[in-house]
Amino acid sequence: MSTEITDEIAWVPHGEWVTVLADARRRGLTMLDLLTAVDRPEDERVDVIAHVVGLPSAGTHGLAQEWWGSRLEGSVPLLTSSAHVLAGESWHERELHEMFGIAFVNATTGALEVMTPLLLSEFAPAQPLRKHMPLVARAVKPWPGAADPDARRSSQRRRQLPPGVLAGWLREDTAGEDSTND
Amino acid sequence: MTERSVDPVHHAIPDESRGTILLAESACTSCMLCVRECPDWCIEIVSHNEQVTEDGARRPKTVAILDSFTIDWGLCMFCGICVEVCPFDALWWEPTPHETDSTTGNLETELRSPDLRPSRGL
Repeated sequence: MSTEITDEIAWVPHGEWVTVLADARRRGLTMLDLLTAVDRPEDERVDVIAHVVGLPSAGTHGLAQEWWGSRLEGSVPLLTSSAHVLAGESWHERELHEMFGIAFVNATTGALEVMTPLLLSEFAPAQPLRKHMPLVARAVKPWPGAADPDARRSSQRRRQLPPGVLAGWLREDTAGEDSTND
Repeated sequence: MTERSVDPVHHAIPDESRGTILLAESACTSCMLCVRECPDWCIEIVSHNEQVTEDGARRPKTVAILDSFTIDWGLCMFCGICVEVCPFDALWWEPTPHETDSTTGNLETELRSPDLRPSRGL
């Protein structure tokens, strides 16, 4: 198994995802505490992270816990479903599908799982937690940092842009014309 | 509906309470660093420039004068980045929490305070 450990997370290829979770369950880590994802557009991938916990009643000594992760590359992140392994995982997988656009493959048949909608209405934008989705709050309010107290400089200098905000998200009056000249 | 009895004990504000953020107006140079670093866009500064001639100086100096410094507590998430980035220590954590308001419009508070910064070091 090619496992790399960073920040206490053991990273495994997506092909081993079900195996490691099933193995964790066998070792008494029966409670799925968290299954979530992090969008990494700079690396063109989505990271899936699971936190499994062993409760003392399940035979582990004290509170055992493990973090498992898998890096999913490609425009449509694909992961084998482990909903049959840990209780409550199905709900989280539906959430990941809805919020991050992760597609799940049935572990037995290899076919794409049909995901039941969870929280969003059919009119909601797809994959709202991916970073390419515009944040509405950034479009409805002008950036207060655009004001330059030094009026002599503001005419000469390039207009500042809010950090971490894509130019396309901003209202026209706050997005500098020269923002495209980078 | 049964009325619940409430224990009339007034709890002291815990030491680790986040309190509120206050501004020492005299220390603020309207540099806009806090406004630009704020991830919630909840701070607004209005300022203007004035020409000030100091004794002995050959030509007048341009000084930014702060007109208003407003924090929208409805947007603020009390992350404290503004306090961290202020190079003049004009913003600081005041242990007493900000009083809440029943209307969202009134959550925008113009910070106006004399220099009441705590003298203890950081």
